[in-house]
Amino acid sequence: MAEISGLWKSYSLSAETVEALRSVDLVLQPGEMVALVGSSGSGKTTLLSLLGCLDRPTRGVIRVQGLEVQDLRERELTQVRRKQIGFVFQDSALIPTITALENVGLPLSFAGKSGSDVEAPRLMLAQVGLAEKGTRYPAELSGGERQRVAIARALVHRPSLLLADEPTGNLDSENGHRIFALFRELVAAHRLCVLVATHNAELAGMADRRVHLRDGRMVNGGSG
Amino acid sequence: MQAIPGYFRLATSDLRRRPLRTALAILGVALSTTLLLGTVSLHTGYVRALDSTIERMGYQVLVTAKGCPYEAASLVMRGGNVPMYIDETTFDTILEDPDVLEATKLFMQGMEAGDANHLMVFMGVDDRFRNLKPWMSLQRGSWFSGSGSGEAILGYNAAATLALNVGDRLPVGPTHRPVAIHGVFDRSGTQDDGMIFLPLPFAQELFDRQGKLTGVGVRLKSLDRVQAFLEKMFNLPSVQAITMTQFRSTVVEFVATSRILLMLSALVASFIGALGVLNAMTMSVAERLREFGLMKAVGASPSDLFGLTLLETGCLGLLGALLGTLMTAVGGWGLEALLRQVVPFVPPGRLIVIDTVSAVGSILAALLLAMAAGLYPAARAALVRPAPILRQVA
Repeated sequence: MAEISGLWKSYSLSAETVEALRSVDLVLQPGEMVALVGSSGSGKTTLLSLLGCLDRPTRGVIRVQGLEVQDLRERELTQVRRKQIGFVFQDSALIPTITALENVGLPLSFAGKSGSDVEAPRLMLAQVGLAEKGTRYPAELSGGERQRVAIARALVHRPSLLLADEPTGNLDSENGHRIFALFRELVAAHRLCVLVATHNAELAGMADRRVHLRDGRMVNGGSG
Repeated sequence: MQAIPGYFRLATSDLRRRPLRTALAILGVALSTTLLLGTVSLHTGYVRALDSTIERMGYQVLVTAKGCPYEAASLVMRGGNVPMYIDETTFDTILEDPDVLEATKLFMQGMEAGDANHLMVFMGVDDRFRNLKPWMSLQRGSWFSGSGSGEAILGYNAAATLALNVGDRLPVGPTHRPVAIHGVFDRSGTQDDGMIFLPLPFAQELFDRQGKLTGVGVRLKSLDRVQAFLEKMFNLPSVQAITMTQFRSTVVEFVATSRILLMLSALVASFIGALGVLNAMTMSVAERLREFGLMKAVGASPSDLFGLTLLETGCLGLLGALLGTLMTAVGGWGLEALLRQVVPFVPPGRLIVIDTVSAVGSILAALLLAMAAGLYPAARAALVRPAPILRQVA
């Protein structure tokens, strides 16, 4: 599970300071899919970055699987990302020069598992319905397929927390529904916490609950 | 297919993304390696070829007419028109010297010969020539008969160049007098291979230099007597003497000076090659900052990204160094041909000799320089902050 409390994040832009997050509290339970909604600039991406150990908060506490991460060193944060966290981005962000299967295997490569778990990427790719497309390069896949490869990559190392930032933003409605349906399946199959940022109210309705951010403040839904 | 990409796969896959930029960076390293390895190998090969040529001259001292002794020595060694002559009677004086073991008369003239008007070197010799060069064996035919007037013996390469064999006839000299090919020497690996040998009196008559010699080659009984012999030659009118050791030292000194200049050029070229790598990798990293951010998000540490970028740079450097070594080996022939056109004295034989130590040293130097150039882009990749970059949607 993941938990944040009293989280603040400020950025300095020229002469002024922007408060991207203001005293945010949130608890995510295993096997729970939470939709993070709010307008552009409301702080969704900042929240995901902090929870994903990609950035450090100005104040507050972040716990991932019981471990406080806000003050960890860079090397320790890398370990947390390697073991506990999976990311899905709006544009899939696949490496264009390696195949779909290799993209899925990328987290295992950085975790030093080049020689082991060789079947994990294939199994994960099969789980998202792309077993036959492992040898294709990203440019040879459709937008929906690329996003499913990105989801397989986010889950190949069996994280406890999956963070998705507008994963359907570049997809049509049909593919958007498929991706959310896939999230639901994976939550059930792996007992994951999934926090997915979206603008789409209809897709947000497929989550177990919604968390609403406005101007960096949590409006409702912070407790699971 | 490998499901989990290794670092090597990740590094090399990116090199294929911009093939032209990669090729140019590799070419830059290759050219600097070529210059570096070529310079080192040229010196090694040149000195080796020079030593071999001097050893096979058969004499330790060359006596010529007064003038620049080094110019005369280089002309005699490579073959050509020596514009000054000594009197043939000088030879008898030299031969009577108690320090002299053996000596030979040398008469050399360059002139076009054959159907294609090849520029050939004619050498007038007598029987003593064979005493000084016993390794000059005849591959076919025989030595001059009697006075040998109207006969010629061809060096191995001269026979091939003129496409002549024993029994053929060749018009020679200013009056195009026909001579019969009486023999062909075996390959000696020296300048002699390219010469046309004529009996001395016939050669002097043919070129209207009766009683004149280009020089006298002298072998001494003891090398301890070289200085004393040179002093005696100094006292003779109109002649001078130079030892092959003096000639070698001067030529090697000249080559060493040229080598320093070439090495400086190689260093500048290596610096430019490294700048090419730095430029290519800096651009590559700048274009891929988002990818590096993504890699951090999926578990890459700063040292992973540093190593990955440095490995990519190393691949560029290694490919360039290997290509440069190949270019030196293949293009060495061209460089040798160029040197023979522009340098006053170039000994026969391979001038660019690539030995293992030079090749490995040049490859390592190019690789290290390329990797040094890759340190900045590698550090930039390692220090990328993922959060701001991932906020920008591609």
